[in-house]
Amino acid sequence: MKKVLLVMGLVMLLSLGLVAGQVEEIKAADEVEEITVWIPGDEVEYSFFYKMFKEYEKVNENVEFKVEQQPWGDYWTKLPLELQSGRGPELFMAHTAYSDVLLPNSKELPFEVSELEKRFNNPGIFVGENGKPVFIPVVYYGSVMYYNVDHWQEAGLTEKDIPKTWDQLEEVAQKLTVYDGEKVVRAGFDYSTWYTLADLIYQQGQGLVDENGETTIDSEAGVNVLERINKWEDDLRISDFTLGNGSPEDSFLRYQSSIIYGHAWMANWFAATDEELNFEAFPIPVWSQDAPVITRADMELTFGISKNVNDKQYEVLVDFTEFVLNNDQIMLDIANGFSGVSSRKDLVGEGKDTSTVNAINAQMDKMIPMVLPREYETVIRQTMEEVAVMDLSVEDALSNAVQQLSLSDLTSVNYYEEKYEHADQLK
Amino acid sequence: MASQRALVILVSVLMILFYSIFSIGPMIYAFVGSFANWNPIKDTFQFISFNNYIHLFNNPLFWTSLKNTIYFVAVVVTGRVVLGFIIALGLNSIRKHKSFMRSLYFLPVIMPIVAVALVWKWLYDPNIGFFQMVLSAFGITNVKFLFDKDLALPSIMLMTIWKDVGYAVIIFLAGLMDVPQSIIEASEIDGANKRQQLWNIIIPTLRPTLIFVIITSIISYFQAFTQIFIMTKGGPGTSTHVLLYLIYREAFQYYRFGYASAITVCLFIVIMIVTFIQFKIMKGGEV
Repeated sequence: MKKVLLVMGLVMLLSLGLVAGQVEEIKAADEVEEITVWIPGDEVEYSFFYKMFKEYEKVNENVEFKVEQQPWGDYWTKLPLELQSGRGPELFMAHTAYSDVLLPNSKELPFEVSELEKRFNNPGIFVGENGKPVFIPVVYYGSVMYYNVDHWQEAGLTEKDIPKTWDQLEEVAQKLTVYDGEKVVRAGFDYSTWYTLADLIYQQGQGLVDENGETTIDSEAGVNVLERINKWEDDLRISDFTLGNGSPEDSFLRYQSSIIYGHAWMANWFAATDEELNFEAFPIPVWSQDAPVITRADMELTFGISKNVNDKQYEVLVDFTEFVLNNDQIMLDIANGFSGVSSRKDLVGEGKDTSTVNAINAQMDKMIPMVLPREYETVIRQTMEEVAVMDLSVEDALSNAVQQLSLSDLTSVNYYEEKYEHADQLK
Repeated sequence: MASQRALVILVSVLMILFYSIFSIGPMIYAFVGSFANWNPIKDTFQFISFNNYIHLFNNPLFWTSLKNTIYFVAVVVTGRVVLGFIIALGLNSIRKHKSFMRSLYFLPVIMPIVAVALVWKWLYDPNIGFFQMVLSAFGITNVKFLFDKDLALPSIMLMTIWKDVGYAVIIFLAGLMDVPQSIIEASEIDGANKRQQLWNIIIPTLRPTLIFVIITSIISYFQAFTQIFIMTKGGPGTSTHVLLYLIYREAFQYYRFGYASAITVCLFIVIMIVTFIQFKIMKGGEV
């Protein structure tokens, strides 16, 4: 009897163990993997990104994205510090300008660049220590010129007047500028973004750093651009830096400028902010017809995977990244959202047919993929302010700029310039 | 008695621990870091001797920022103290609506500096701003306020004085209440006029209050940052750079924590010297 009871007891224990094991397995299968995502904008601004999370959740019920919106200003300071200290999100929106601080805090994707190159343009621009990509560009875009169509028509201008060179732009801008006494109340042309100085140096065939990684902002090309800015401000009086003050899009939205040096992403923003704003885009004018570069190519990237994720989360996020890159509609939505051109070769030319996208396409082969260190951007902006607003001499402003950049490591600029298709034409 | 002693020890230990972890520790770390090429994002920390300091002293932007900081502190502290004292004297002499007036002057103090800076930024706008509209009525146009290298910092100073003067007013009013009325009355009997009362009774009685307001203001304005960050971001050019803005830029935009720490050490030394001089004055000692 004792033996029977013992055997029964053992059988019961074994059965319980088996049941417990099965319950664990069922639980594991049902367990939802929650992924925290950081993004510096809301669903109105980045509807295509929010949509891609929902699309992935639809086909992967065990994955749930917890999207946390952070204010843009804080985001880029907070994110790298959080990631570095082992906290922060598992997945985050990345940005080229902060790639230097995000790269060391992100996991590499298990893809080969050579394989990706068959389907994508420049997929290996942000690689990690092992040569694998960390962020893959999903859309290419960059600077374009916007003009207010109503102002244009009021001034008796037609599509034929769309300028292709800076000399032509100056002529058109003079017809568009409105004065109140001595004061420019509506600028024919608002150039007040740092892109202007950087791009116009490139247009003259001058790289932004020399072979030693030192700034060339004080080169002849830099002097020429600043002198031209003086011409716009003081001689032709077609511009007033203070109207846009670094953000020409603001003066454009206030109807205080007629042509602006803008960026492709602004097209959707203008349309959403002011339905009555009647605007179109055209390519950036050139310094000369043989300019080796027209403007810099910016890009939006795949979301970064934090270096702090566990193996299970990493597996999910790699799958998510593949899902995005392989999904035609998501890729096109992102490209259209930024008014850019998809990085996927088979989707180039498949995006929206707008003047902004057309302008990007028209200048695409002369857009240099470039990520400038933040201090270079800041110093360029300051230099422009010193000349345009503070009336400092070009020589003094450039001397200040060189001094301020003396601590900066600009060798990454060399890296991108050397990769450019027409690099041989750059000094 | 024993339990009281234990409580004293416990509270002291907690305070020492708190200050060690959150104040003294980071200060020592920043001091050591000022001798290093330190980038916490890239996990780099290499000692480079005095290189940060050498570069700092050779950098014109550091001297511009230091000059701007001293200019800012001198003007804003003077404005806050003088204006605050005059307003307090005025409020002290009125009989009706005293509380209302006191609240009115104190209102800007409780407003968040970010909100105030944003509103004043709009007021100063050279195209759509209120001040420009008022000036235009008098035929003065094209005043660029925050975009003018000579007007940008004074414009921020004016906003700061407007926002903070109420604090000085309240402190001075409290001090004025402590001035013995009997002495004032006695002086009146002796034939002293208002001016003599002010210089010989009120100001000497208020001396500790005055020194308190001056010292706290100086320390606080050496650390001015938010209004500059919101209103000009150090511009136009670098004309409104102050030391704290420079520290922010180096540390949290360029992640050069070592260089930023070197600037912090310099700022610490400047504040320490100024405070030391003030304490000497307060104690009536020779400087």
